[in-house]
Amino acid sequence: MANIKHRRELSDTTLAMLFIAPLIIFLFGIIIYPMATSLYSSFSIVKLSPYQINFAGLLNYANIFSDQYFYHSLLVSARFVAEVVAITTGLSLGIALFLNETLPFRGVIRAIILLPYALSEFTTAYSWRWFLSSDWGLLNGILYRLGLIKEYIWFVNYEHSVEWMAVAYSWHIVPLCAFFMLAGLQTIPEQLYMQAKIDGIGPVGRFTKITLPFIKYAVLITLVLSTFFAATTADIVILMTGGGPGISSTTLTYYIYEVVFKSFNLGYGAAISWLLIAIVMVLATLYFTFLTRTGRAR
Amino acid sequence: MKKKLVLIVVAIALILWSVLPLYYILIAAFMWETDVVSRPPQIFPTNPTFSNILRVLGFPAPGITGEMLRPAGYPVVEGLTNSAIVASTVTLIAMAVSVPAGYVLGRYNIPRRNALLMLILGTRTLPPISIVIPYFIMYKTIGLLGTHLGLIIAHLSLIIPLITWILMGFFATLPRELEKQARIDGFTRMGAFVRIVLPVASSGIATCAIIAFLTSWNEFIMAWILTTGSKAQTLPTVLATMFTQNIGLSIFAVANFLATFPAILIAITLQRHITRLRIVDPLTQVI
Repeated sequence: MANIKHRRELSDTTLAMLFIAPLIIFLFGIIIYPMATSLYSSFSIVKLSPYQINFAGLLNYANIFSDQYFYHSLLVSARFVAEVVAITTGLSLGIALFLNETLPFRGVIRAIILLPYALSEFTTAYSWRWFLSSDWGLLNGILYRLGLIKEYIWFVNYEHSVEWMAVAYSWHIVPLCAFFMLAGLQTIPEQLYMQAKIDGIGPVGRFTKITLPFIKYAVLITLVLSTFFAATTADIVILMTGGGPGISSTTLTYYIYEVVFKSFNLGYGAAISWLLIAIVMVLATLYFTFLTRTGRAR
Repeated sequence: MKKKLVLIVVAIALILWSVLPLYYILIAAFMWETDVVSRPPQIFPTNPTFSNILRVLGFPAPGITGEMLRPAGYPVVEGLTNSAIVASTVTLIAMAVSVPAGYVLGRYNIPRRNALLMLILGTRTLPPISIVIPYFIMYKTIGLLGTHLGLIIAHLSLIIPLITWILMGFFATLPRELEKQARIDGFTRMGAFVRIVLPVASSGIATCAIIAFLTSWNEFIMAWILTTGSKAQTLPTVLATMFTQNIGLSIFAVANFLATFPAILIAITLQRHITRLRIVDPLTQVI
């Protein structure tokens, strides 16, 4: 008898299918199925205890367009996203340029700068809420001690609650983007700068002609990330401002939260949430096309 | 010389920017309530105490005048336990699903691969507030509201696509010859994966496990909606409830400290490994 060990051998396809099957089951079971029910809810009137769902066609979607609070929250979201994107891009570029210099205590400085990103959105929101408090906030305390103010200031007021929220949120995500840009900066060969200096190109010229082209991709990534993070976050609003004072910082995500989980207007809330998803998807497609083009052009 | 001075000033400004907002809520955990609300606030605690921490953890402790105070009586320890249960279960399941899937997506050419990738990417862009709506309605009708299982399932919907995507990129960067050599050495395809690929990939897999754990540990909105006030509520949920109840600031600061500290520790250890994963892809939306 031949001494051949018969082992059960899987073909490539069988192994691949075996390995991928759990993922597909999970994707359909815990994401696609729930989202499909959510889509159906958005076309229905949904009541809880006892559960009742009645198809209502386009009613919810039609109502959105006559809802002044929806327009308000859409504008607040747009303002919030624009501010986060602007602050994040500017600041992370600055931090990346700084970290790219030769520094003493480099490791320590890097770790401290990375710290806000290591914190949760949750801690970010509460830290800033405390920091800006008009009763016992540290920012007021410092300004007071320095003699710059006589009375404590109410920072997170009707006019500027969105701005402060944008600052707090940017604080949280800037380190991530700064490290993306730093990775881009570190690919620039030192000789290019030397050559430019010899050719008599000034610092501004060196920045636009050498630095920018090398970090264009990282800047784009920052734009994408900060847009998505800011457009989809609800945590920072719930925990830092509660949409207020009044409704001054009610973003679209917070408005959905209120409609669904405070007024229990489930079908309507689902409809607005699908509108948000549609906006995000359109942005995603735009960015994706843009990124792959730039990626190839690199 | 002038440049050096500028760099020092910038360094100090950046350190203040990173630390100041967090600073007060951290030291308030070790301060007496009257000191926390004093005006102007103390930059350094003049009269530090461990009483708040002891009382939050469920022990009686002396107050500022020396009399014994009862434990604070908030379910902080319960929240910590729940957070640990949920986050570790989520990590185990997510890794069991994502490691094999990430391996195949990163190294095999399977039919409809692109469609599957677009699906994973699409789910990554869903706002958490949108995913939690159907879960809330479903759980309300089938009684999964306020249970560990319910929150675990919801967290998996966020974490499996994220981890699969990162692992796919990671497996794709490993040398092509790994399996070829293993097959020549007489391993089956399964054997090559278990005995050769997994050990080589272990550091990347460990990093992804930490990312999965942290994401679940830090997650707020789903936990807040699906577990508030129940026996399964996680630490962030307990804290948010405490905050709405107008409790003492120093007590709240302690709870916040407990929620933040493990995460910071893990993140610092993680920092060293994260570059190795090369998660610089824009659409991964890391951590």
